[in-house]
Amino acid sequence: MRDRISALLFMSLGIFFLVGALRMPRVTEYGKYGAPGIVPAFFSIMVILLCFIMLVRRQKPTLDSRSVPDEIRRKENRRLILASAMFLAYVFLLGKINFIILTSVFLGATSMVFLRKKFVLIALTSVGTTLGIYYLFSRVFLLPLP
Amino acid sequence: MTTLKVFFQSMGSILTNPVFLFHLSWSTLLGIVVGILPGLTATLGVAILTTLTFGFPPDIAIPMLLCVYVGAIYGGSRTAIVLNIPGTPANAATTVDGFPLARSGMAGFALNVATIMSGIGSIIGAIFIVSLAPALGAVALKFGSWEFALLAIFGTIIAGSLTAPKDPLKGWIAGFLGLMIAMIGLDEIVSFPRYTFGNIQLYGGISLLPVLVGVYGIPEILTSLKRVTKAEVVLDFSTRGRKLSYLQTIKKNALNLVRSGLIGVFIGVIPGVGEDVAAWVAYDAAKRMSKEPEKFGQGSIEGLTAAETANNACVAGAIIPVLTLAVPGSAPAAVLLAAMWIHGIKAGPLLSIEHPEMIGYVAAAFTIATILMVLFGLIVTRLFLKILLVPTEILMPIIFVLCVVGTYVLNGRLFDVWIMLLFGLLGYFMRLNDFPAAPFVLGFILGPMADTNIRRALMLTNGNVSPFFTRPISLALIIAITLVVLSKYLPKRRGGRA
Repeated sequence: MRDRISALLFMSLGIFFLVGALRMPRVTEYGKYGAPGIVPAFFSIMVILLCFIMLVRRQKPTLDSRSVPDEIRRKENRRLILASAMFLAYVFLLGKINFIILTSVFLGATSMVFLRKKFVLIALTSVGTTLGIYYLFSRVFLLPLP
Repeated sequence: MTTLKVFFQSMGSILTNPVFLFHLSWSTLLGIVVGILPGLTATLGVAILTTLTFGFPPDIAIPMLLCVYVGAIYGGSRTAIVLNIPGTPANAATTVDGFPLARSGMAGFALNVATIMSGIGSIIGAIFIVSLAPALGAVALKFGSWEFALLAIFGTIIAGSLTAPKDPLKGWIAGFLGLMIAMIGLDEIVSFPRYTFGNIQLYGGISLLPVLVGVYGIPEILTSLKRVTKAEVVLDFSTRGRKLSYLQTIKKNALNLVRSGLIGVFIGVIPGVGEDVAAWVAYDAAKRMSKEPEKFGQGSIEGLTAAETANNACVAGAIIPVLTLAVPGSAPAAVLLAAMWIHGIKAGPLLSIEHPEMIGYVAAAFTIATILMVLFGLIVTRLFLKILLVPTEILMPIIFVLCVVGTYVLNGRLFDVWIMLLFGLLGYFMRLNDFPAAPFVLGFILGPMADTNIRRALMLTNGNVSPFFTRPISLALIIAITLVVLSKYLPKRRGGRA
């Protein structure tokens, strides 16, 4: 089932790229073989074709997901969603809040949410690491930070 | 000047320059730490250091990146032995015998054997950089558009086959997806904006670094953070229980060492395949040839030797096509290729003309990286293993911040960070559904090369495709592609090995 979903998803992407390729100019100053859509069309046709084979072939059972107990899987999914949400929030706020404040709060909050102990150590590590990253990138290597 | 002469001159100039040695030392240590930390790959290590070495001249930046690469592939063996979790995918085969050795009270011996064998593997690799790279470079000068176009497709297909041996179809889909997504941006022949939708940020295409960090880094971070169960750590480094001295161990494994080294180098040369496949193939070959195959999986020194020799020899193998064909042999080598471009060194067939000293210089830097790796490996890495006691919940958010910052500083725009997250999501989805990341990344790198050369070949012959079949190297590549595809689907011989 999972293979079928992947095949359909990637096939849709292939169709999207193929339609885009077909809408590109067919003739250029270098003739019809210099057309920018030739190669994208070829690659997208290959993706569609390979996904089609995956879609119609006999499906193999996926064993790995069945070996994890439901309770652990639920717990893992919760942690995954939480981590993704925190990462998204951090990137969204980058550039809007001062880098040192945002990163210290992000590191501290993420570690505390997942570890739920050693709060003082986490707070110290978060501030220390942020200052370390800031100093290394912006002072030692003179690279711009968000 | 011959490559060998440049090699010795470069060795001398690097070893007598304290500033170079200082930078190479900390880069090697950084690489070892990256390798030790499960979830951080050599690719990510090289990518992060690429951003840090922007301001460095190429003659120091390239050796530093080599040091991180060599160090990380080696560092992963530490975790594989004491934690039973490969520090990098390249060390997966090391866990099979490394951890049983550690549990039987031989952790110290196993760590030292892995260090020595990794060093020997790297030296075998360095010999091939000096000897094979110039020869391959000479052949590469005969390549035309037809050969480069087919090489890109061959690389993607073989990477797909070898990184997804149970289901090569998924490897090929991943490879062609990479080739397809590489088409985003202005095309190189008529500068037509493809799939940009009027977004000016997409005109330059998608940068390699956000894709690499996204596809390799983000899935690792998410997987580590979501994991509920914790691993067993063996931090008793005694060398008791060993039956042979290190020299006797080397002598006893001499044939295994040479065989695994050669396997490592030649798998490294194959585009996009990388160190993990090399280690497994060498491990399998060692088991087949062994007089004591029953010990494999129970703590066999032969198994440990094969895996560690091959993965480090593979690093050198992966660098050879980078230098001569601009085609990376592995994912970290792909970042190295990108870093060389950033530093103004155009790797590929013309490298031997534009920078004739480069192959010898890279071989020298690689050898020094190996020496530093062995020294640090034998002296200080046990101390660094204490880093494994830092909880993942503290470490992974820090790694995420490093990924974000590393991606941002590349062009100084948040757009790249969002691209990294998008590819992180794609990478996680691919991992969850057993699609390998390596062919995807290789396809993404080789996409522009395939695009330009397919169209150029067609323009030169006004659409006539016969040169693809009449030029010898081109024909050989077509036969190789056909064989790779057919070999996966032809029925197996009855009674033969699976």
